[in-house]
Amino acid sequence: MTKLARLIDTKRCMGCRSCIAACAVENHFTPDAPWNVMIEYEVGTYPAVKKIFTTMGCMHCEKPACKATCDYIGVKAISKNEFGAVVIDYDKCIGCGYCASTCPYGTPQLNKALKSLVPGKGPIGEETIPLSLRHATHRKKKHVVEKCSFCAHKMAKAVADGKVDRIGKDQEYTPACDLVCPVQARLFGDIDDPDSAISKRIKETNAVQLRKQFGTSPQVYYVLEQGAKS
Amino acid sequence: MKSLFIVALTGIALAVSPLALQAADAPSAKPVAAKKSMAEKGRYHRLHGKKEKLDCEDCHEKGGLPDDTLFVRLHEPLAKNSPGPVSSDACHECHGKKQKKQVTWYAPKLPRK
Repeated sequence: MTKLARLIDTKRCMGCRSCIAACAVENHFTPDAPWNVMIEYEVGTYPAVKKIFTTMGCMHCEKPACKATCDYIGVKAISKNEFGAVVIDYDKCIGCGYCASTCPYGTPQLNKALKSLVPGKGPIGEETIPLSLRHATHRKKKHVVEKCSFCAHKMAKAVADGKVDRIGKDQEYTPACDLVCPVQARLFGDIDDPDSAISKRIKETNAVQLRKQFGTSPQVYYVLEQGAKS
Repeated sequence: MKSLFIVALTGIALAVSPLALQAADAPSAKPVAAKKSMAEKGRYHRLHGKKEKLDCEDCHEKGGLPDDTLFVRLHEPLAKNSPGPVSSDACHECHGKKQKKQVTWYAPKLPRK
C-alpha cells in the first residue's frame, strides 16, 4: 500500500514562493483561488526576532472534514484516491462551499470565475491543452470548489506507466511544488514505507501535523522553526 | 408461465443491480444540499444565526484574522458588507471533540504511524 505524504521544513524555507509559482503553472489555478499559499509572520521580541514562512495547501487528511461534510449533505463530490490524496469531482460539486467552511486549514477554494494565469494575455502553458485531453482535476469549471490534488495527474501518469514506485523520485511523477524548492525544504513520498526518505526525515526531525486538535490526521508534516505555530 | 415469470424477474434484477451500485456512489438525483449555501440568507446562516441565535461576531472576526493564522484562505478578499472572516477555531469551539455539538467531520485523531 502506498500512502503519499509531504514534509515541509520551515527551518529551511526562506519564503521564495517558488513552490507557489510552480503549482500555479502546473495546475493553472485562478489567482483568486490559489492551491498553494504562503503564510508569513514574525516571532520573538527585538532584537531576537525572526520571520516564519509556512507554505500551505491541502493537507490531504486521512479523515478529511471536507469529504465528511460533502458526503453528509449527499453530494459526494470529494474522494480519496488510491494514494490517499483528497480529490474533488468538479462534475458532482454543487459549489455550496460547505467543505470550505469545515476544513480546519481553509483549503478548498470556491472558484468564482475561470481566469487565465496571466490575466488579459490569454491561456499559457498547460492552459492551452484542450479540456477533453486534460486530467479530471484540470477540467475546471466556475462556481465549483478546487484545491491541491497532490498533482493527481502525475500520479495517474505513474500508474499508466507502471512506475508507481517512482512517485516522489522522478520529476514526471512528483508534484511540481516539491521539485522546485531551491533549499530542499520540501519532500514527497510514501510514508507507508519505513525506509523511504520522507519516513526517515519525519522521524529524524520530529515533524508534526498542523492543527491536530481537529483530529483529521493530515498527510502533510511540518518541521517547525522555533516559535512557529502548529 | 411461472418459470417464464421467474426468468423475467431474474433478468430485471440483474440489469438493475449495476445501476443500483452506481447510484450508491453517484450524487443523489436531488442532492440534499440543493438549497444549501453559504450565502447570508442560505441554510448555513439560518441555522447558525436564527436557530442557534448566534451573533455575527460569535463566528466572524471583525478585525480580520491574525497574520499567524494557519489558514489557506487567510488573505481571501471578503464579500461586500461581510462582518469579517471566520476562523475554524470558532467552529471547533462548538463542534470539536467532546463538545456539545460535536460533528462527525472533526473526528478523533488516528494514531500516528
